[in-house]
Parts: sequence; structure tokens; C-alpha cells
Amino acid sequence: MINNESESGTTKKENTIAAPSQILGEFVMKGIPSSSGISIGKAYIIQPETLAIPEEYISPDIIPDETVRFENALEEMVSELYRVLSKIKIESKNVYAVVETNLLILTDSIFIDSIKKRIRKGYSVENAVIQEFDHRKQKLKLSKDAILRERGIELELIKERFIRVLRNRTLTYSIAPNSIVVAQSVSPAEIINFREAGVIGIITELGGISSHSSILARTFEIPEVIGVKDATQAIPENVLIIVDGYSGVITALPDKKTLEEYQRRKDKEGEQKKKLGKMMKLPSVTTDGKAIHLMTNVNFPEEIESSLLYGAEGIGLVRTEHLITKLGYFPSEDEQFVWYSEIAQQMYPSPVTFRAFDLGSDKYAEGMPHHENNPALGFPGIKFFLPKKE
Amino acid sequence: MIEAEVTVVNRAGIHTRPAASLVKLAARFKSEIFLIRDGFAINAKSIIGVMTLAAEQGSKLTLRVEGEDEESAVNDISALFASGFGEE
Repeated sequence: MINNESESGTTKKENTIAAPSQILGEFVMKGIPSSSGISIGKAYIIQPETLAIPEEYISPDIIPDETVRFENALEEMVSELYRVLSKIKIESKNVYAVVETNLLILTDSIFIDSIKKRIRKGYSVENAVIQEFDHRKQKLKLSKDAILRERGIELELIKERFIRVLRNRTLTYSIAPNSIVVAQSVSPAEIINFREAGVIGIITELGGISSHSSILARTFEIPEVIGVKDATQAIPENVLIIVDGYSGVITALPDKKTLEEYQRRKDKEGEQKKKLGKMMKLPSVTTDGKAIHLMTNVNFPEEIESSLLYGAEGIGLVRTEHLITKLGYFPSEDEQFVWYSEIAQQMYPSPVTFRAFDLGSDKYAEGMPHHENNPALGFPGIKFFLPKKE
Repeated sequence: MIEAEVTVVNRAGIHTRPAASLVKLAARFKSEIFLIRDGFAINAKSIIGVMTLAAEQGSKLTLRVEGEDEESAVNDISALFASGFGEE
């Protein structure tokens, strides 16, 4: 393009606004695969909100209007969360708890009043919201506890959503079906909206594999890759993009060869699913008539639903250590009881096998007794119980 | 007015879920309920207040309750703390 300009001397408008595909060729980014599957679709970029709000003070006569604007946005968010809650109940208890907490925050009259107070002082709604959230977040950041410090991220997500609603960006409804969402981070509520909008893949810059959003993406079987640095800046809007939820590779503007290769893999994946689908309801019996019990392996209670859907005769293995890695601390007997009985009840009367915590030293939980660099060591299985006298 | 000392015994401290159970319990009482830490008081009916207390395991808080149902409020909330919010 630079050559073009110098050759022609006077630059025509068409030359300066080239389609992204003319500027760039295929490029690859790498992240962490958090929900398996391959998706090919157009990128829908959700730009991170620039939270720098220029006007510090508003004129006193528009304070009542600003308060109304704040109340409307709040009402919209609260009713959205209620809508999400009504849908989430069956999908996941943990996610339900998170959304419920968000709701408690947005209906916390003390918190809401402090924001209103800031508006009455003459700050714009955006300013008031950002100030109040940041003020609260600051306190969490000072905590000695990692889990509590992490709660700051939750507040950050609510704040961003607030600013988006205030700016009247009801994003989720303008997304074309079969899009791949590229965002800084996504909330559980957003994933539910994405699914309704027909989103087929998700790429985020932040996030964790055990985050509530990732769990939901897996539950909904939407391929997702997280931790893709600068994705929202590097990927142009509306370009073709491939999400490989197995390897964590993102390919933007794929050339013909790459596209064909992925298309082939995707077709194969689909065929396999179809083939498996046909076989699903057939009894698992060998040609000489011997019956074999076909069961599934499960990491989280959320996966039981698909096990049942695919006609599993039971759960062959529940990887209980995921309870620890998900919680980040060692669960109490009661917590384990709730988790295990939820799985057992859903599968009843089919058998379920629980494996003792397979805690290689690559999996760390708060309060773990021992540090060890070799992931093959650590405290898998019965070794975990051996040092415990009880 | 009643004051009582409560200790955070569960390992993860008052993170989101315990904060939610605490706030939901506090909301059932008519009394005014405050939690005080290092001279800093928050309303126990405010989730954002409870969360930003950032009370980790082992932290000691003063529970201050004033109102017609103060006794049962102190009892129930102390019990919730003692149970570690149903966590380890």
C-alpha cells in the first residue's frame, strides 16, 4: 500500500481504505483451548470499553436527567440478569450463584445510593459508576487473600457491562448468526445471550479454563480459545476466522489451503458426530453377542447432561480432582458430598465410579501439604490420604 | 445494641458465595447490622460492603446489631460464621 501511494503521487480514497484482506494475509495467534471443537466464521469484535470519560463535571440542571439515565441502565441490567437466571437454573448451579451475586450487587441499595450521590455531586453517570466501582475494587486489591483479590475482576466485568448499557450498546442482539465473538472477556450472562444469537465460537484475551464462562462454553459446546493476547486489536472486524478449540490456534484470514484443511477436519468432526449419533441408541454389543458397558468420563457435573444425551450406561470415571482445581482450595466433606451426590442422582440408577483425587503436583490447591516440581509426583490417589491419620 | 466477636473460619474467607449467604441472612432481620474490622464498619445487608471487607480466613470482626430482633440476628449470624458458611 505504501508503494502504491508513492507511485501514484496523489492517493485516491479507495486506496487508503483497503479491505483488511488486502492489507493482511493469513495470520495465526495462539491461546489456551478451553472448549473443544472447530468453528469457521466471521469475526465479531467487541472492543474493550475505553473507560476514559472526558467530561469531568456535568451542569447542575441535567443532574435529574443523569439520574434517570442511571436508573434506566440499572433496570435494564437487572432485568437482563433475571432473564439469564430463569434460563441458567438447569445448566449449572455454580453459574447460577455467580449471576445471583451480580444481581445482589446491582440491587444493593447502599452501593446504588453511593453512585447516585456521586451523580448529585455533578459527575456524569459514567464517571460516577467508574469511580464507585474502582473505589470498591481498590479495597479488594488490598486483601492478603488471592481469591478475594480475584473478586475484583468480577466487579470489573459488571462495571464494563454497565458502561456498555449506558452507551446504549445492546451488543448481543446485533450479532449475526454464525459469528465468532472476539472480546477482552465475556461474562456468563453474555455467553447465554451469544448462544441465543447463534454465535459459533468465542475468543477472549483474558479468562481462565475453570472460569464460569468457560464452563458454560463447554456446556453449550461452543468452541472457545482464551488468553489470546491483543485479539481485539489484531483481528479486523468481519474477517474470516478459524477457532481451533482443540489446539488453541486461531487463524485469521486463512488462505485457501488452510481453510480447506480446517473445513475437511470440521466436516470429519461433523460426520463423526453424525455417525456416532446413529450408533448412539444402538446397544453396545460385540458381533458375537457379548454386551459391553459403554460409559463416559466426567470432569464436572455439568457434563452429565451430554452423557445422558449420548446414551451412556453410566459414568466410568469421575475425575474428582477437578473439584479442587475449580475451587482453588481443598473442598470440605460437605462440599464434596453435594458435588458427588449431584452426579450420582443425575445418573441414577446407572453406576458411577469416583476416582480418588489424582493430584499430580501440576495441580495445586490452596492448603496443599506439599510442593513438588515433577508433575508425575505429588499426591495422586491414595498417596493423598496416606499422610492423614484420620 | 449487642456486640459480638466473629471469626472467619473457612479457608477461602468471605468470598462471593459466603458474602451472598451472609447478606441474604442479614436481610431477613429488621435490625441494623454492622460488621466492623479495624475500626471500619460496613452494613451487613450490603453485598458490596461485605465483599470489600476482604475478610480472609482467621480475620476477627465485630458484629454490631441494633433493633427489635437483635438477639436472634446475632445468634444466627454468629452461627453462620462458626459454620464456616458451610465450607471448610
